[in-house]
Amino acid sequence: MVVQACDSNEMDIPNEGLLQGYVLDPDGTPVQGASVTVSGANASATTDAQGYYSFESLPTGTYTITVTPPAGLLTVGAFDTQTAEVNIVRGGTGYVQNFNFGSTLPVVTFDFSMDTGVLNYAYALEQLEAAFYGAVVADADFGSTFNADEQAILRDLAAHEAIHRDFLKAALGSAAIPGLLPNFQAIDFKSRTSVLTTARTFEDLGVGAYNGAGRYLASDAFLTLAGKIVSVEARHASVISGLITANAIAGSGVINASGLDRALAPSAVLAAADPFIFNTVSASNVPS
Amino acid sequence: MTDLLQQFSDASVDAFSSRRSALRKTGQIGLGAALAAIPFFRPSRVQAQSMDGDFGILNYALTLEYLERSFYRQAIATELIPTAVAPLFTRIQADEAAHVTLLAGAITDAGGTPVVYEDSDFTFDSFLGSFAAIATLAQGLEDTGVRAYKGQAANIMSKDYLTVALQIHSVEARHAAAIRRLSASPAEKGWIPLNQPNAAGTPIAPVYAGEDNTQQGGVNLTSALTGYTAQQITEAFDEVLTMDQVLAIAGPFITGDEGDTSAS
Repeated sequence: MVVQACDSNEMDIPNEGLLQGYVLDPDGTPVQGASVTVSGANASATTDAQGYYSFESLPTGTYTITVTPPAGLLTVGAFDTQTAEVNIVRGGTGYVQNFNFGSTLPVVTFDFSMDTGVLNYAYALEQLEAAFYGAVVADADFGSTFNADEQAILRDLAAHEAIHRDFLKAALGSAAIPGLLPNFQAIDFKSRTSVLTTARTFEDLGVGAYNGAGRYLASDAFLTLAGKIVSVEARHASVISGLITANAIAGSGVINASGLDRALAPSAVLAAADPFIFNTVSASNVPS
Repeated sequence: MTDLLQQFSDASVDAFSSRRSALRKTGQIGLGAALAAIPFFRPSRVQAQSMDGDFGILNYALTLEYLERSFYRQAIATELIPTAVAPLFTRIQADEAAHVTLLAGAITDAGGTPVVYEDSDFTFDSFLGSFAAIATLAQGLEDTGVRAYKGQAANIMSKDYLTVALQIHSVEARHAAAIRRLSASPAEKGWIPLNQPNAAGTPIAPVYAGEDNTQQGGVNLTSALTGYTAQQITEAFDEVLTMDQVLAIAGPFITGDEGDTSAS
């Protein structure tokens, strides 16, 4: 940026100032189309593709500015409206006010030294899957994107995952983690390929997650219960894989030469799930 | 909320922990734990091993894998498998063969004696006459396998064996779903609605005994959760089979004696 010298004396400078900033989502991605309003100044702006907004000549004074996420930003859930107080002064380089949606989202840690931690880990994955299929079947073009067989399958999956989610939430009771905010911005819900490949990723990941976590459950009852769920996830993974590639039962490389499914470490599962969850999630006390 | 769910919510999970799980947590392999006898295994040395904790379970699993491997070998040999789905059968046969190799190796490596079966020890004649019959038994065997592994998971004391068993269990479930989808009349879902297929005369109906369970954790989910049908709830949870139930299903196909010929 070039700073130009200015010959004007102070009286020539308007009694105005600049307000500008960026609006980002929790992952640091610019939010386009967010509405920014300045109370009392009757001014509003909309963020551009870089998440940038600006008011070049606000009268000096103190304002409350409000940022509202664009409609349809999230397929599932919503960010809260955010506000900030700014003090506009005359001239100078202006006032910078950035916003991060979802900055107050709960941070979730799964304590693998306790069965409740392991079950919450499962609950988090079921939340993700249930939200995903819920968005799939709710899309306005669901009936034309998928054929009748695929629609029936996806509706079943939406129900099964929601049942898993609701059951685990009820079982965990007050120990349950909060609801997570899914990030499905990378998924095109009007694309058969996008939806099915994402579904296969989620189902294969879920199977590997349960397989890897079984050894951490102390309770026989919980271990058997996890077994009752994971085989249904494996059935899902197989059917979805078969829709993508005839005769396939898993994503490429998921089953090894010994005929074994994956058993994934919590860290690997959470790294794979992270792009789809706005919350920060992590595992602790994972036994060696 | 019912008592058991309340117990869940109280996180009093230690109340559920058994000696087995305690052993599992510490990674010990409890060779002395008693298991139910395995009635149909003929040679006495297998019966003796059934008392040896994880070895007994691993040999139980190995027997089922031998049975499945042999079934797919014999089914493929009939040349009745349609070309369009032949890759699926070849792939499943390879998985079952890999499971045999893996389990036999694991038992040997740990100092145990794996069971040995030949293809000639298994007879599937009545299910090898048509592709429809082959697909029906394939479905029955795969769904049985899923339920068999699930039924033993909590009995396995070694954490490492448990993980391997889970890794096989989910592959059997993948097989089961793909095979179920081959059924055209009646069309089957990849998952198990209620206890279907249970129509009178369905030869594999015993495989689905109890699959219409809607109680999980002692709670009837048809009333505890809202918005779902009983069928959806039963689809969302697969159920276990005990060793006795599995052996009643699989036993009739085992017509030869284990270990009575030279090891293959």
